[in-house]
Amino acid sequence: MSSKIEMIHYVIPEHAITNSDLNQRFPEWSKEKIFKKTGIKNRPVCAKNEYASDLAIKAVEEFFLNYPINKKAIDYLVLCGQNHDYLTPSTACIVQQCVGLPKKIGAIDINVGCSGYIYGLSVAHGLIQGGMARHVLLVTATTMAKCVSPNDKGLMCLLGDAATVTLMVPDSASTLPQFVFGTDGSGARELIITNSGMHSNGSKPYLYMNGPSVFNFILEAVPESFQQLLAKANYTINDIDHFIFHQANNYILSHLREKLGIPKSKFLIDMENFGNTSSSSIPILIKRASEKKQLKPNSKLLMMGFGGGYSWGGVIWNWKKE
Amino acid sequence: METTFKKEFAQLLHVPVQNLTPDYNLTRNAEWDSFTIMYTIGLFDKFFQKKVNTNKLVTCKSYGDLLKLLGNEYVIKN
Repeated sequence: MSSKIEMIHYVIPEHAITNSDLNQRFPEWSKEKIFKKTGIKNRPVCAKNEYASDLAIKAVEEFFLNYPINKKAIDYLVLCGQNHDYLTPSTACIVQQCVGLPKKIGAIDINVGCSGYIYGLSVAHGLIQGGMARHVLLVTATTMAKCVSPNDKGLMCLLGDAATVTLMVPDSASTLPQFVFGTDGSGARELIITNSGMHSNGSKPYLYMNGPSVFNFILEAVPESFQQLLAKANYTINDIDHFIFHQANNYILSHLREKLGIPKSKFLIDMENFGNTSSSSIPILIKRASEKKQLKPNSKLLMMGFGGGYSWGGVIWNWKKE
Repeated sequence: METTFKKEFAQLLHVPVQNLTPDYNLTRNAEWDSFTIMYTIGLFDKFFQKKVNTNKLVTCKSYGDLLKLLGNEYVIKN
């Protein structure tokens, strides 16, 4: 038994940081310069008192209003994120109670950053394929932007907050997805929320990213696992209809596309009004591309996520019509 | 190859390509910021298939310092 993505829904916080806002804070960077450097115009950002669970709850509640499935049919909740409300309990447990999901479900958090959606899909698919669950809600709730220091110009320009819900269901007609995974903990300190968790020294936790090191990691890990994934599925680039990578940064994405020899028409980029939303970026892109009729039914999607950890992963997935 | 690298690097810095002599001072150019430093890694990869030491990259002060990161096998012109 395989699985399919039945529906995707997303929400973003009400407040957004525009390039004008950034220009006011950092006058040396004009609106045009920020857009040229990042490909981003607006970044939705959580309010101070808005947390990952709040965004996730909003996304799940809206999902049930928009999609005709009974909450009682849900067997499992998998929640990806990096800034969970607490060290314990899991944010998934908080969401289960607040949205009124049955007590009989499993509910877990996954913490792997920008590769989170790929890992979430693998867990959800495994639960369905293994017969442990039939209806899995895969939630991403990413609130990295609120961990950015107000003096960190680069990260402020890049990051946005969002939450998504993907309903995964069994599908006997689908071919099994092919996954690849990768982990290299030597990069743990290159993308890290300092002073967080049990390492907190009482001062405010801030996100630190060594951009050049992270880019070096991406240039090494992504092309290799991309080729592994194609080989594993016995496909070439021509067999894939759409390439959907984590929306890290316009320049990085364009560079990877050129390096991998992917035609521009097959490579989707959509981050102008979201920024880099970590593990939410892939499902947001899929949802919007689907709404714009860019994704044909039964098309083959190659998705890749990569980021903090270092952690990366990819999957080739048959897209069914929503 | 270096000429093409130079051309694209000059575009990143918003300077005429002829200005990029080995002693060109990067730190006086406001465009030499965290994004440009990161994108320079992309240019090294694109034109030389070379991964450079990022700790050394961020301390480069001149265009010549940047080219030195590529090693002796790359001839520095100009």
